[in-house]
Parts: sequence; C-alpha cells; structure tokens
Amino acid sequence: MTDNELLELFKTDPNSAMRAAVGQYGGLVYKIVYSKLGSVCQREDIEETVSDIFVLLYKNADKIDTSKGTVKAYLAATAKHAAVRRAKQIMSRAEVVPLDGLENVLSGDGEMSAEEREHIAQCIHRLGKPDSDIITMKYFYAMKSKEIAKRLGIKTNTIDKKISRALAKLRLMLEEDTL
Amino acid sequence: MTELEKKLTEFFDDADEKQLGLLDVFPEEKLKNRACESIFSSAVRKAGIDMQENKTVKRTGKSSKRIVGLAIAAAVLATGAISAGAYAYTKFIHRQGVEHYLGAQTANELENSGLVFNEVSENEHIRVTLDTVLSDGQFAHMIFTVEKLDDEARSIVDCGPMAGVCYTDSDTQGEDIPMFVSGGMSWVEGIKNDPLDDSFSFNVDIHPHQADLSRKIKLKFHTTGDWDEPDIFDGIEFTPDVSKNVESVTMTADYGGEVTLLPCGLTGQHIQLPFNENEAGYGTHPYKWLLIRSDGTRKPLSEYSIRGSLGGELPDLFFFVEVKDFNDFDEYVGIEIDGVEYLKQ
Repeated sequence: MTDNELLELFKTDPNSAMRAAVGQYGGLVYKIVYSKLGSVCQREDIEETVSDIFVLLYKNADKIDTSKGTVKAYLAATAKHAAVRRAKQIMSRAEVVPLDGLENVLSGDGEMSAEEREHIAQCIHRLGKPDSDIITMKYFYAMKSKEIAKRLGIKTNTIDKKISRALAKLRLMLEEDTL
Repeated sequence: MTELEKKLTEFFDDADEKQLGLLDVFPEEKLKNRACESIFSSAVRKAGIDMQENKTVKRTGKSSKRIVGLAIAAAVLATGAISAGAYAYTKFIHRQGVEHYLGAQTANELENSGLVFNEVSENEHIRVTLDTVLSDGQFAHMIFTVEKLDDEARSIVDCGPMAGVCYTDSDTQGEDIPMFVSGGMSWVEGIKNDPLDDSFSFNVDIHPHQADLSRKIKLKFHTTGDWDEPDIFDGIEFTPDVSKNVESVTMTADYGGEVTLLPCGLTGQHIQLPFNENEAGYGTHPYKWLLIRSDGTRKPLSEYSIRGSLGGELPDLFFFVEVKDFNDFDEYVGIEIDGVEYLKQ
C-alpha cells in the first residue's frame, strides 16, 4: 500500500487503515520509542505511547503532504518527539500530558533552530552511505555497535572505527561550513 | 559524550520528517502479534474509530473441520482487566507459541478456520493466554502463553515444567473431580531489544482416560503441584470449550492396537511403542514413524515431539506425537510405527 493509498484509506475505512499502518510501521515506531523510553518505562507505557503516535497519524492524515516526506518519516519524527517529551515528563515526575499536548511536539520544541537542524541533516547526508546510516542508527535509534554490525554484516570493531571516522568528518564539515 | 555527540543527539531528538527523510534510514522491524494487536486496539479506541469485531460463528460443509465460535468476549469479561476490543480478532495474539509447537502452516490454518481462542486469565504477576484448543471430542491439545507482568514472575523461569490440573464439572456428584494433566513448557523469545516482553508458551494434552471432554472442565496451574502452597499461578483459571472442532481418524493394527490421527499429530494408548519416558521430547528419534500413502509409499515424520505418559509402564503408556505442519493428513491411509502398520478401517 502506498502512502497516498494509506492516507486515503483513513478517510474511507479508518479501522482498516489503522490496522495497515500499525502492521506496516508499528515495529519501526516501537523501536524508536523503546530507544528513548525502554530504560524508564514499562512495556505497557511504551505501547501506549506508540498507539498515541498512530492516533496522531489518523488525526493528521489529511494534512500530511507526501511530496515533502513519507509517512514512514512522519511517523519516525513524531515517534522521536513524543518519546523525548514523554521521557522528559517522566524524569521531571510531571503528569502525563493528554494526547492533544503531543500536537505541539510536531514542530519541534528544542533549542536548535530549524536552520541548524537542516544543516546537520545535510552534513550527515554528505557523509554518504554507509556512514550516514551508521550515524543515524547510533544516534537516532540508539543502536549499539554490535547491533549495527549485525544489521550491516560488518564486524563490530569496524563499526566503531567507522563511527569514529564519521564523527571526525562531521566535525570538520560543520566547522568548515561555520567558517 | 563529546559536544558533537550531544549535538547529534539533540538534532535527532528534534529532527522533522523532511530531515529524517533525507537520511532515509528506517530498519525493518516487526512487532509481535500481541503487541501489534494491543497497539492497534489502543489506537482505534483513543481515536474513536469503530472497532470491527469479528466474532462471527461460522460453519462450513466444505471443510473437514467443524469451525467453533470464539469464546473471546466471555473470557475477557471474566478477567475484567482488558478492553474487550483487544482480543476480538481471529489472529493469534501469541502466534510464536503456536508456530513453535504446530508450525507456521498450521498456525495459518487455525487462523483461517477460526480456531483462535485468545482467552485470557491473569493475576497481578502473570497473564496467561489460551491460544488454541484442538479437540476431536476425545483428545484435546491446548497451547498457552504466559507473560510476566512484574519482577516476581521471574521465578517462573526457574520453576521447571509446571503441573496442570483438570476438573470435570460433575452434575451428578455436585463437585469438581480433580485430575492430573501433563504440561510441557518451552520458552519463546520476546522481540529483539525488548527485555520486558519475554514470555513463554506451554502445551497441555488431555487424553480420554483423564477427562470426559463432553463435560465442562476447568484448568488450573501450579508450578510444583503442591496445591496447598501459594503459587504464582493462583487465580489463573480456564474453562475452555473442548468440544469437537477437528476431525480425527482412527487406525488399527492387526494385533488390535489403535492410533488416532489428528491435524496436530498422533495419539493413542496401550499400543506397542518402542520408547520410554526418558526418550520423550523434541528431536528425531531412532524409531521409524512412517506415514503410509494410498499408493503404499512411505513418508517419515519430521519435526515431531513425543510425549509419553506419567509413570506408565510399557506398553501401557499413552502418548501424543505432536507434528508440525501436519495439514495434509487426509492424504495418508495409515502409519507404520517401528515396523507395525496401523491402517484406516
């Protein structure tokens, strides 16, 4: 099912669309949420957060512009924002905000400006594969070197070296661009 | 963590879909059926989407199987802890366990035939799900999955094989009749990277001499069988529908011994079987189990597990040979066990 077909299905048959979305992207969203909340939440809380993200997909289905980004990317970004927000709430012992509160996280509420984020994304992209993938797996999905190694079929110590070199390249790129 | 690493973490915490789309790294991850159903049910409930429940009781004359209605709603109401929608589907919540014992093809067949039970009973420490029951009205084979709900449940890991008990609800005597039922146990790994999601599955066979399946039965569990002692399974109870839901065929040898063939395996008692209790279990045994086709050719059983009786003396023990992906059992006219032929009559 294509992204547009899925988003259309939310209008005509939301139940089937939700089942398809959870079936297709549930694992990805769970992994992202787990990477942030796995050490501080019970499984039930993680699943609740994951379901919140799919509710947002349903509510925003008619606003998602697939020419700007895929549904997968939308869910990945939303999952990360929601998980970060939920982690902060837990750390500060704040009450869990209602679902509507999550709408605000979609635009990003961190310290970094949109320009700076765009710049870093471009620099990581310029590293080329597999370095950009490795950096994303390590710092977005919080995957361990061993896990990345297994997924890419590369030795763990090779991954560690690649991370070290990629970070050095990235540092150089960011400094050069700043100058 | 270096400044750059902190910056990267901050970037990824705050990246939008366009930036993530540029990086385009989305590893394929698959959810366990249970988690998938739980998330789906929670999402549709929160979103206010009508749940399309599939609780239709179907009967078909084409299939050799009598399709049973799902006892889902009643089970959920009995436990009272889980939203009713969460289990109103014909997919296994714990498919891993069913696949582990019966194979992927059989799991598909059971889902397509409406033989998904998904009945749940839980206490504060564990949640037990009755995944499926296959019964020919005489013999019943059940698969259960246990999930841990708290750290105390970790003691189950070390408890070894558990005991089960079966009560026949007797109208004539007005009281339950306890009987001992065997139960195998095996671990089914949780999904990767999710140490909280560990669970295990086990199965229970009820043989004709143990219980009359035409009566209502209750199933309870205990890790040691010392029923006066408190146990982590306290409060867990099932009254499953064990009425006939699959066809079986009885095959007879010249000496009079009988073996019954079901879609999940072979069962029988008082027949000459060349193994003892120590040899029961998974794996290929050095004995010949050959299915006989109508043209006389033989096919060896593969991927089977033998479970013998509790304390029976040869040749009086009863047994169940669980066979994975045994969907084509209609093709066979008999079975040869260690040189002795058992044929359909």
